[in-house]
Amino acid sequence: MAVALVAKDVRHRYGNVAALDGVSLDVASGWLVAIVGQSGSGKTTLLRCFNRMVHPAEGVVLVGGQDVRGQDVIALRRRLGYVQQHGGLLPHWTVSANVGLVLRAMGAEQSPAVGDALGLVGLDAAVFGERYPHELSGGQRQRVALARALAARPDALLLDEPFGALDAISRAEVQTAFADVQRELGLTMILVTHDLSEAARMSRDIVVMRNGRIEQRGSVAELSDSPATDYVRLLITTAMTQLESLAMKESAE
Amino acid sequence: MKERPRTAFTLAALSLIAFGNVLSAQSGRAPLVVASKPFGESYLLAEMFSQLLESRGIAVTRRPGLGATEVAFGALRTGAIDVYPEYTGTGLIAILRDSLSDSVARDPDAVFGHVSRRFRDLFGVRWLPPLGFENTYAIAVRKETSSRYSLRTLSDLARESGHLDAGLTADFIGRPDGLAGLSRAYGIRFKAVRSLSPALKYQALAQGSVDVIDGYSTDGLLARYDLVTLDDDKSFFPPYQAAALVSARADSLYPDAIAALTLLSGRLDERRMRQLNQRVEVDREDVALVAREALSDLGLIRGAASTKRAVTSRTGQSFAEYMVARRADIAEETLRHLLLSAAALIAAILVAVPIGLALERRRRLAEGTLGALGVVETIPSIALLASMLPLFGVGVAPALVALWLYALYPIARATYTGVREADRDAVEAAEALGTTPMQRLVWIRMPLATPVIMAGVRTAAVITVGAATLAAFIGAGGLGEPIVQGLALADTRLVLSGAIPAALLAILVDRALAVAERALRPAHLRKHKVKRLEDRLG
Repeated sequence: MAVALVAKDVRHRYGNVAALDGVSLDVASGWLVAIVGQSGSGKTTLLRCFNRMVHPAEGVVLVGGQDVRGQDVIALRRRLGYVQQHGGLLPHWTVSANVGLVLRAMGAEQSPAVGDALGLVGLDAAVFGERYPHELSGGQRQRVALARALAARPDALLLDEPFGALDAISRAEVQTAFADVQRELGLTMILVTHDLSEAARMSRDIVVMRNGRIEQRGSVAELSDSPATDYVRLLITTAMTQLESLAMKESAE
Repeated sequence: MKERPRTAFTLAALSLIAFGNVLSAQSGRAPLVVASKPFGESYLLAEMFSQLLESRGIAVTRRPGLGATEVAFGALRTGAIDVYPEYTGTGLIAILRDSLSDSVARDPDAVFGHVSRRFRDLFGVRWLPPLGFENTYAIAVRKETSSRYSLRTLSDLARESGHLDAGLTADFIGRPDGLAGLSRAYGIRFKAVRSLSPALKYQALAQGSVDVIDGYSTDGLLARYDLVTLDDDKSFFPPYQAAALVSARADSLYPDAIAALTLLSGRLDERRMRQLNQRVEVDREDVALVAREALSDLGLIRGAASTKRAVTSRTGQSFAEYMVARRADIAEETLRHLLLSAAALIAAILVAVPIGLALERRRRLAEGTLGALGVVETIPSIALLASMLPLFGVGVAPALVALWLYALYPIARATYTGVREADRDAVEAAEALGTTPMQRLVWIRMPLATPVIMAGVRTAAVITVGAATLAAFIGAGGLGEPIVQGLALADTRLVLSGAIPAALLAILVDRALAVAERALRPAHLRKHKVKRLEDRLG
């Protein structure tokens, strides 16, 4: 069951730096939002508020309409799949064991779910199941990480730069896998990335963050047609070469 | 000093060692602990006590070469040992620090009476009737020095002391009836004073490295070199009658042992003792053999040793033959050494690994705690062992505690580092996916930290096996025992018969743990490199 993810006027500081300076975000159930920003923009901090890896000083965070502070933190995290930049696979566990991590943590049956999850990301359990992470390519590792996040049938996915460490070819491949999963399962997803073209490729709903604030939210076309701030204009200009074809393609649809 | 250690750890460790002792004990009663101070005559007398007791069916544990007077007597008083040979003059001045009127102080019987009464009243410790000889300090010079400065008495020595270098034992330099008292009584002021080991002082004197030494009147070596002993013309030294000193525990629980030991009273005169000492110190005969023959000559035991004869250190014997002959002893010492090291190491793992894990979650506390443990590492092992004596007496307990302290730091540091550095991405992702802290510890942190922790354990093991050699100085036994004894008797082969197995043991333990380390390596590191390459290419 996909859930809505909502943040209301969230504020958080690291020492003197305002990581989140009054951010509100509403992600409808089954919707995919891409948050774009440089490092230090607060995008990862915002993402981590949803699974309570960060406890914001002020504001309210809702998952499925309920304040996360009132929810059991372990149960909450098991409902929210998570993929990070470097995969974070357990190096001493096989692919199957890694994918079964959350199920094992819950004390649940692993066997059909693990194979299904690997199938969803396009990996054959018979071929890859008994391998160790170091025996996989970077793209395969990220797909295993996605399978791990999906295996316990979560209500939403939190993706923190999941393609950041990949070369161009594997990136395209893994992005396709993620897009397929989103289409198939209809999960609520928040994708955090520093790359506007990547955000545009994955989602029609883009949130631009800077210095702990949201600068603008909209489709690529909206952002390029009427940028709300100089920063958004600069971001668009910089990525223009890559974006032009996409924007044209989108308007043609 | 007042009470035995009560912690569960010490009890557990003691029982482990006690298990080793059970192997050698014959009767149900706890064996009587017979000790000596670290010089030839003391070794010999203690061995005679031991054999005499064993011949009467009393089980004995030997703790030879325990340390100077303070250590040996401290151990007897606390009941850590039961009997050792002591001298009345030493008891009077070094332990009681009593000063008697001159007439009493010069009468051996009066001194014995005084000392035995005071020891009974103050410590509940019993002097058995004297063995029959006195072993007083014999301040000795070379014959050539004696004639050059016309030295016959200690008063003569005082007159010329400004030209002379003294080589004295640490014991003599430290005690009130030693250098300090002697200097005061005669006005002696040496040009220089050097501290020498008892086994080396005669050689140093003969070679001219020093001019004056503190000998013992019954020393076997006194006769070997051409030496002159100087008269104590002011009667500074009290009578030093040798006798068995018996703990309160043994006095009440072992009447048969007291009776057996009393058989030696009055049976050893100075001539006989000097001859026996000479056999041990000059001729390098085995202490056990000399003791056995002496007891046999006195008619106290039947038959001379035929089994032990093979174990003697004859000069004609090659080192290999000597090692083979000592193999039973070496095996026993090695086993004891191993048990001692293992007990300390296991106890250290049980404590240091949880410390390292706990510190991972309290990082601010971590550096301070690890720093404090690291300071222990900088204390010289012998000093650490010695500092355990007032708390735990002598024997296995203080050695275990000291070795345990040594092993804590490398293991705690390795655990802390290993767990902290364990693949942070994996730990973080697992946390975000909803694993519990315990699941992350058991599934991720511990397995990934295992190689680092094992490296720490290996370091600790080698340190422990090495430091355990020094444990013999406080009576814990092991391979340090032949080393300590060999040093006291200037017997290089005896030293090597402990040192070589100890070194081999350290190497062996390190190799064994290397194998264990490989077996405990996390799964992905165990897989074959070749297979990994094939997968990459395929």
